[in-house]
Amino acid sequence: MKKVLFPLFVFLPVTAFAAANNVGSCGLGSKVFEGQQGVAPQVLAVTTNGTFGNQTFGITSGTLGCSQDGVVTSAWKTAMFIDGNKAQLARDAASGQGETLDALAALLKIDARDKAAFVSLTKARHAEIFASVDSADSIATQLKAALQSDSRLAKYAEAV
Amino acid sequence: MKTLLALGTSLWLTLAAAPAHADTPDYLATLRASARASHLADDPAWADLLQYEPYPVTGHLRSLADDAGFFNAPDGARNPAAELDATLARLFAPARPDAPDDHPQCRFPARYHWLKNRLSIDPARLPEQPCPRLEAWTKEINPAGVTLVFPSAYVNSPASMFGHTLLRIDAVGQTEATRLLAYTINYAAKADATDGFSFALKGLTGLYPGTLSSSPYYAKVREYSDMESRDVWEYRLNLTPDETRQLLRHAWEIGATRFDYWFFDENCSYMILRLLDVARPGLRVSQQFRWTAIPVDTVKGVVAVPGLVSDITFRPSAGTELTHRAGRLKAADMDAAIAVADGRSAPASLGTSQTATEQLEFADRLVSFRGHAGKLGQDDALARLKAIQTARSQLPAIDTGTVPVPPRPEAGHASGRFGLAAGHLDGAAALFIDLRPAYHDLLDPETGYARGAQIRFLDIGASQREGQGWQLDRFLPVDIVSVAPRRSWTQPLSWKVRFGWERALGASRAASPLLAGGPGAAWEVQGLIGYVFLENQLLSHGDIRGGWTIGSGPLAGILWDAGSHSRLQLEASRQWFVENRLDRSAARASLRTRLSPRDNFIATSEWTRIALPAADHQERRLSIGWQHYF
Repeated sequence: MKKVLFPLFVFLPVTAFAAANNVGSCGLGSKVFEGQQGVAPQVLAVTTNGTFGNQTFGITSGTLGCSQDGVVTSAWKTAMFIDGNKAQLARDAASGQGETLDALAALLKIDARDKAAFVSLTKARHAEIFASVDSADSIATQLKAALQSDSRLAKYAEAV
Repeated sequence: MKTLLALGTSLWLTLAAAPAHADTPDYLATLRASARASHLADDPAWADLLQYEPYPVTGHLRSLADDAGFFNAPDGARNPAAELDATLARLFAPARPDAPDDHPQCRFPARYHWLKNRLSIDPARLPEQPCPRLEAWTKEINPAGVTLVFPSAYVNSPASMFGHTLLRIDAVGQTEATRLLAYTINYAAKADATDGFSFALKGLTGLYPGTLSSSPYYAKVREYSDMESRDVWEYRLNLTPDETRQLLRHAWEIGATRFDYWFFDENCSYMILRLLDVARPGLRVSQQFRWTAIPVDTVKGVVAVPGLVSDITFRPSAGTELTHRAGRLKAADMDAAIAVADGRSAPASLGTSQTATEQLEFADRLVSFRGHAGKLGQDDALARLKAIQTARSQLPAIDTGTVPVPPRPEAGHASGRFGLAAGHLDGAAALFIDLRPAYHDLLDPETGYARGAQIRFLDIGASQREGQGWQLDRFLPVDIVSVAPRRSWTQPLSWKVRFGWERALGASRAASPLLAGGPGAAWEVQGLIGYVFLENQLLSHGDIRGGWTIGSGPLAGILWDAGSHSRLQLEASRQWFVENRLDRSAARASLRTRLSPRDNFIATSEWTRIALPAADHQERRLSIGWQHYF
């Protein structure tokens, strides 16, 4: 009954961070696969520890993209989290447990009594939510739609 | 109306005038006198706040900050008393409504906080300035405590054994579910070079600025656990919320201050210790690491402070998790799971049993592991992950056990090693001494270190044969070996590289420059590691025609643990050179037995035959000795 309440939300411009903000300025779009390849970088990189990757901000650097002085601006916290954990989230959601799934539930302020429903939802709707694992934007859009279509969890959709 | 306006104006004037207190000069003089009376400028906590360190010989203080903006007095970098006087004066600066965070109280909040406490500064006489950016930053981090984070080495990269440390600022009310969302404070070289060599050179010689940065902990976990596959150790420290806030204030005032980054001493770990020292005056844990701050040694230093570490957590890397999962699958089930990861069979073919669920989870992790290692293109990897996860999501959650926790890094041997040995060299009685300032070799006890990884820095060895003076046997600035066993699900390339000076032409000729290395492969069967390498050498010596030559050939060896205290290494090699009178065969056997946590017994037998000079020339070395870690 409830599963067909809001079947077509996918078409609404619902993402908190694609429509309203300029994604590019935020440094979103981290690669799903990145690693140290080859021997030379391994030998040499160690002398500096200078891995300046995504989501690393200078302290007292002021406002840059979606960070302010080294912390993520609150409106962007969920978006940045999803972007930084795309593959891990997809895995945790598929297996119905895991640290990133717990952290996402905490970010969305999901009540302890709704947690099991949230986990079941991300598992049952895995194929749509993670249709494009390399796009944080797509994951958020689909997650929001999935939440909205669930009468119990719809109240958390705003937080995505 | 006019009266109201006039009233408002006079009120505004009074308020605006308020910061410039009538008794400012008096109060400043009082504070300075009080600071002098209690010798605040000589307080070690003041030295920590200004990052002062004594010069090695003279003992004069100078700050590690390479940035005039970090000081209030013109000679603040060298004069703690002048800096303290100037700081006190600047705290009285008029308010900056245009840019409140540029006020000295906001620019140097840790110093201000410390002085305020130590001098019991009266806010009525030295008005407190608002620092909106600093306050917003602190509020967002919401600090409750500090965790020291140590990513250990990653497999097949001995260089990473050197390690790294950073801090996680734990938030108020943080749970296991939310610790990924905490922020980290990380000190790293701000590197720009794209070519590896200048990258390394600049890192070693302090040509990069070090920068403090912040990032969510999840970004670091992804970097270490997934991309680099390094196990992470988290040491929860017992810093109070107040101490943590002071640490953040100090991180803030360091902010964009320029510090030159030096790989061996003024590095990531040293800065982390200095932050802890400021957080808790009197801790002074950085003082043990004035000369070198090898990350794992700094972890040992922190753990050694009584009561400082309250809890230790192990976070297995993607590779460690995979190894654990692999151990839960029977060989046939493993092959089927690998076939799915390879894309050779469909995920659904595994069925819906609990074993199938484990196989799917294993295949999922294996695909990611290969993706990060660059062994699989992004598109292929994503398509396979999607198929596997879709199948997985239709099966219930299962318990897959917990990854066994390995011995902790601080349980490992100290990284410096000194050795003394006696024996025979080339037919004469001989004495041998060795010094290896850092870090670990294949024969050392493995506890707390990465298996199969060797990295030696500045390894030096000398010998004296009967009737002759001391001679340099070798000096190797860098000597790295990675013995990475191949398994059914992963086939890493082993490799080795070393450069420096060795007596490559035998004991009767002086040490000469060489560069050597090559690829290899390794296997592990029931704790016995076997390996083969193709070793290539570039040699230079005055006795070689043309001054230099190249050679190549195979090397094979085994590593075997005889009980928990002893390890045996056997190696044999053959090298052919362009100048073929240098062709050689060599064999070596070494046995190391641990006598105590700091001491080893070591026995080595080496046999080398070099075609040089014309007839067969054989050389034997036999030695028995003692090694001490320091």
